[in-house]
Order: sequence, then structure tokens, then C-alpha cells
Amino acid sequence: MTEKIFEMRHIDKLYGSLLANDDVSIHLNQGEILCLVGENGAGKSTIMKILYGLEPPTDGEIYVKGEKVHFHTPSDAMAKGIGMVQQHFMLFENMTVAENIVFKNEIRNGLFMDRKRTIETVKALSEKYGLKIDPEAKIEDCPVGLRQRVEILKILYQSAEIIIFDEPSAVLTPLEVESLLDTIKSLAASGKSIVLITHKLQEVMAVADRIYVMRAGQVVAERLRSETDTNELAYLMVGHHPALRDISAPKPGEVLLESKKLSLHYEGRDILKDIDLHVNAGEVVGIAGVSGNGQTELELCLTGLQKPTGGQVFLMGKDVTNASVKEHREGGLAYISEDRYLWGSAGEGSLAENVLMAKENRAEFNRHGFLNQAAINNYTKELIRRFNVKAGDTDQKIRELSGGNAQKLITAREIMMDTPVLICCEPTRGIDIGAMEFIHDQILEKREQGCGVLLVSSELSEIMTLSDRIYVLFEGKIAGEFKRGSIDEKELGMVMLGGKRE
Amino acid sequence: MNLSLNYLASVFNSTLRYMTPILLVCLCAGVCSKARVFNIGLEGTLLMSAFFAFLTQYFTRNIVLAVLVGMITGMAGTFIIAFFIVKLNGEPMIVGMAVNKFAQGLTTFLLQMIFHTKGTVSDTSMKGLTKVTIPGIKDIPVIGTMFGNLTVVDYLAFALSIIMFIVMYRTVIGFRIRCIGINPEAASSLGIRVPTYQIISTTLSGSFIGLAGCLLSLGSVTMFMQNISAARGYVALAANNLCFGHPIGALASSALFGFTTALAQVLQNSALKQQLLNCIPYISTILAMAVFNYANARKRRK
Repeated sequence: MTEKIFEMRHIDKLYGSLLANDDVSIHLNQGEILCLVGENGAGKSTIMKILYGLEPPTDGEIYVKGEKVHFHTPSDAMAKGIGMVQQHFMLFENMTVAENIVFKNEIRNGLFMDRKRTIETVKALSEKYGLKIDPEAKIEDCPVGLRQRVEILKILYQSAEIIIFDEPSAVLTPLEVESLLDTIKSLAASGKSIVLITHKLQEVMAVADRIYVMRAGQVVAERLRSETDTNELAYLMVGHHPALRDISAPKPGEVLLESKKLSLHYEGRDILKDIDLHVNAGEVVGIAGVSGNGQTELELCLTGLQKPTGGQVFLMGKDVTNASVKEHREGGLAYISEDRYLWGSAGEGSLAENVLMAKENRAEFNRHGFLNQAAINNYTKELIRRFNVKAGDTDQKIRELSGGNAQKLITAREIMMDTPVLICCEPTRGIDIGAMEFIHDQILEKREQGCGVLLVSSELSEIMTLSDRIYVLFEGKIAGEFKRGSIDEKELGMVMLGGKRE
Repeated sequence: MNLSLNYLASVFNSTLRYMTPILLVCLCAGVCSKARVFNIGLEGTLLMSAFFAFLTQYFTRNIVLAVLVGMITGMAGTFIIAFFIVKLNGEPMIVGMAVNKFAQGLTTFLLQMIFHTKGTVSDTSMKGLTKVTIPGIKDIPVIGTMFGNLTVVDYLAFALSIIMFIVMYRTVIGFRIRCIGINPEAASSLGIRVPTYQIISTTLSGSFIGLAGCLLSLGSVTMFMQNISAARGYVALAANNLCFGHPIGALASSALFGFTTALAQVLQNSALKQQLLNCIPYISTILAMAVFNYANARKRRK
């Protein structure tokens, strides 16, 4: 009989009238990797926030190592050896890695910081757990994967025994995800007990010992990894089998969007080099690649947000290389940006305001410079209904929506622009299966209408499912162009990493 | 030759004397900006410190007590600002301006009530801060002029900028304050009581403003006049911007403003209009900010 390191019994959590956790009972064994899976809003983050002392439970009991506990703050939880790697990193940007790790438990020499010993301690810690870092590097110079590693080390430094990961892969590139999963496994091997919150089933199958599936605030199933598979888990999460898509043969029409020898030269480096691509009417064209190979810059160049240093861009046959964003949009382009909060929406703005963006000059919303609030609200309500967005009132802030719902609303806005060309970048990053399927349907619907869609995504399966044609971007150049069905996922992965097709 | 060297030495000396009040306020502004308390009430705090230090000296003729009262006034003003911003969630711009306006009103009012004047108060029998004479240096021609007429507080200002560097960049407390300023949420997620740190650190640094106030009303001249701070609080804010809140950098940026003020005085005997000369420190503030921010933006773009 393995020892239960923590146990939560009959936890209820009420937010207003919303029951976020409904009689949840879970436990974690010593040295085990436990996965909590479920769609966004299923209550998996809530239950872990309760364990970590961020939220008080409405009802229920928590035991850590057999002892009943009441956590009021994360410090209480940390004192009992529970640490959590949050989705949003809590780091001090222009401090060093070592300084970030020791904050609050500084290694001191009287009143002073003991720099030398700090660095030594952090180095020893990083070696002990095989998490390679440079203690003296500044956080601001560290890529996301490294920052996450610092977060993990921070928790290890506080000698946590239970480590909770909240959707840790949402922000990582595929390569970083792999190294994260290795880290999780080696932490468990070294005796730590781990809870992994995720909705990516491949990750679950790669690391989990045991799995709880949550849906609508309840635990609906408990499985050992050895007795389940991704199909069953997906079924349990969503409550029905994911629809298999029947995609009609493409009927490509005229060229809508085209780039010729598009280049971006920056600080002596070629970010983009001689990109020739085209998107025809009635097709979805995918841009595959490991992130950081020029995708972001390509989308910026194609949408007018960044002026290329060489080559040309044609939209609907017109040269728009140096045109403004407004001219791009008026010329027939809609754009779902890769960062939904940085570029895709104004977080503090209301749903109605976010829906109105780029439509504020349309006659139905704008009468001689005055906004017609009633019309805007009705329109927003219509989009919320049609695109199945789970939201409150139209004056709610968009930041208060879950990631999936915010993304649905942004997608709705851009699709309703009714333009011949749509560029979508990472349209389903970090959102759940239900919302993802919905957005995929919308993209295909757009294709059926005879529009051209350019899909930039680091999610291979997404590219493979939706695209009629795929360009692979590697180090700023197009490394290959493939028609649907002419390449499998493994081969595509090789090309993405700069290898040749076998 | 000897004359012009002496002349330069006296410009140097004026630069030192003009820069120290700005340096002291700038050191406080540095702590405030590092702790993420946006304090534009430095000007008002400075004015009140100068007034109450003068008032204490006028009635008690006890210079140590006067300096203490100045420091306490500086701390009180800064505490009020920090408390309103951090604890009561006040809009920093409004809180700061309120303190500035309040200080103007209060000092003018008390000047009228106590001294029955709207302009200047001075008393020739009153002594200011103790002047430091370094034996041996005083009689060397040029160097004697360069370092003449400086008070204890002037020297203290220079020492403080080094002390503050050590406090902010070498001690655990300074480390925590800087971390809090960078990411308050991260600090509180680790169980640090962020508001307490912010209020205590800025309040203590308010004592530097108090010292600066003493320099204004009890320094090279012993007098108080309406609006004696003359925007030095704002200039210090600009100086702090130039040095990114770094205490050693504060030496350089406040020296810049000290020098331009000295320059304006030196040029008084030239053909340039007085009004134009009075603008020099302020125009140089704007220029320095513009040039610096431009260079900085370029660097960041790279």
C-alpha cells in the first residue's frame, strides 16, 4: 500500500452561484505523477488552487500526510511542502536566475546578500535535479522554457515535495514540451510527487501514472494510465466522441494573397528570406514550423504590421507591400493574431467594445460620429449566441472570459469581417477541445465559402487536419511545400527541424 | 590665468552647492521608483521640510533639532504620499499634486501668520548648518575655493549616495525592495508583505528630502522665502529618470542640473537677459530628458 501524500475529501467550491467544484475527492500517492484532465472550466485549476491556498474551499477537508490542514495563503501550503508552477510566471525580469530562485529565503551574510554562495547553491540545486540553467543570466534574456525551469527550481529550493503544474505546456514550443516532460519524470523518480493539470492527452499518456478526468466541476473518472488511451480520455472529457471531419476536395480558385521574395533583414540577420507563397480562393494553406523560425514576422509582414525589407506582398492582385494595416483590412484581409491579449483584443475593454473594433465606422454602428450602443450590443449578443461563447453581459471585460471563450469571440469578430482572406495564427493555442473543434469548423466553413485561409500554427495535428497545402518554415526560409496527404506527421516533423524528407 | 582658474573653481563650488539638494531628493525619488511608489509630491515635501526646519531654528536656535524636524517633515510627507498610493489605492498623480499644492498653501499661510510677510524671512543673528573646513585645504588657492562653504549636509549627501548604493544593491532589504518594484505580484505570491515594504522604505528615504530642505533654508543662506524649493523637486524627479533610480547615477544626473544652475548664475554678468538665464536649468532638463529617452528608445529597439 503506497502512502497518500495528500488527500482532498468532498471538496465543494461555490463562486457566486456557480459550482466550480462539486464533491471532488482526490488523492496523490508518494512519488506518483497524477494528471488532472478536463476542458477549460471543468474545475481542475480550481481544485488545485484550493490545495495551494489560493482559494478557500466552500466545503470539504484536506489532509497532507495524514494531517488535517487549513491553508489561508500559498505560504501556508509552501510550509507544508506544496509548490505550484503557475501558468503565468511569477519572476523578476531584470534580476538574475539565482536571485529569482532565492528570493524570500536569501542566502545572507549578516545584512548583505552573499552572492557567491547564492550562485553556488543554485548551481548545486540545478545539478542535483538535472535542470540546466545559468545562475547569472538575467531572466529577461531567458526564453520561456528556461523561465519555467527557474519556476520549478524556485519551488525545489523551498524544498517542496508536492509540485503542481498548471497547464505547463501551454506556453512552450514542442521541443521545450519534451524537455519539460522529461523533467517531470525525473522529478518523480527522485521522490517528488506531482500533479499535472492539462488538456493535452499526448502529454498525459507520456508521463501519467494515474489520471482523474474532470467535467463540469466533478471527477467523472479515475484511470491508471495502463488501462486507458487517448480516445477514451477524450470521450470522458467532452462527454461525446469528437466528430470526424469529412473535408471536401479543394476547388482552388484565383490567387488571393501572394508574397514574392519576401524578406526581412534585421540586425544583420535574415529573419525571413525570399518567401514565395500564395493562397488561393477556396483553400486552407498551413504554415508549419517550430515557433521562432519566422512565423511571427511572416504574419506581421503579411498583415502590414511590419514593413518587409525586401520583396512584395499582393492582396487581391494589388501590391500592398508598404500599405498600412487599415489598407490591408480594407483590401480584404481579416486577421486572428497569435497573442489574443496582446494584439487580438483589449483585455480591459468590454465584449461589445472588442467586437466593435475595426467595425466602428460602419453605418449601422456609427451615426455621424456617435456610436449606436443599442445596435452594438445587439450585434455582440448575436455573435455570442452564434459562436457559442460562454459569457455574461456585453459590458463584461473580455479578460474575464476563459481563454477559449475570448478566442471564440475574437474569431467571431474576424470571421464576421466577411473578407476574402483570413490569416489565423495559433487560433487554438491553450484552449480546450470543444472550443478548438468549433474554431476549426469556422475555418473550414470559410473555405467552403470560397475564401482563402492562411493558418499559422505550431500544433502539427491542427495543420495536418485543416490544410490543403502546407509550407514548412525553417530558419526564415520555406523548407518545403506539401499537398494534403503527400506527407505524414513524422516526415513533416523532420522537415520542420531542418532535415530532408526521407 | 590664476584669475580664470579661480573663476572655474568658483563655478565648480556653485555646482556642488546647487547639486546637493537635488541629489538628496533624487535619492529619495530613487527609492520610491525602485519600490514602485510613483511619487511626484517631492516638491511639496521639500518645501515643507525647508519651512519647518527654518521655523525650528528660528525659535529654538538649535540646529540639530532643526535638522531633525526637517527630516521628520520629509518622512511625514513621503509617508502620506506612500500610504495614500499603496494602502488607499489613490491615483499617484493626484496624491502627489495634492501634497504639492497643500505645501504651497500651508507654507504661505504660516509665513503670513507667524512672520506677517508674504515674501522673505531672514534673521542675521540666526546660524545655519555648520560649515566644514578641512584643515590644510582651505588655504590652497584653487582647491580651497572649490570645496569652500560646504556644510555637513552637503558632504553627507555625497556619502549617502554611496551608502544608498550599498543598501539597495548589496543588502537583502535592498534586493527585496528592487524585486517588489519589478513584480509586486510575484513578491506577494511568495508571502512578502509588499505594502509594508513599500511604505517603510519610501518613508525612511523621505528623510533625505528633509536634509535637502535644510540645505535650502539653512544652507549657504539662512532664510525662508515663499516657494523656496523652486521646482527642485521636479528637477530631481527628472534627474532620477536619467539615472534609472541608481544612487551612483544620481550623482551624475544631479551634477548636471547643479552645473546648469551654476552656469545661469555665472552668465548673469553677460548680455543675456535674466529671464532667459533663469530658464537654463529647466530647458536643460527638457533637453536632457529628450536626448536621453531618444537614445534609450533606440537602444531598446536593437
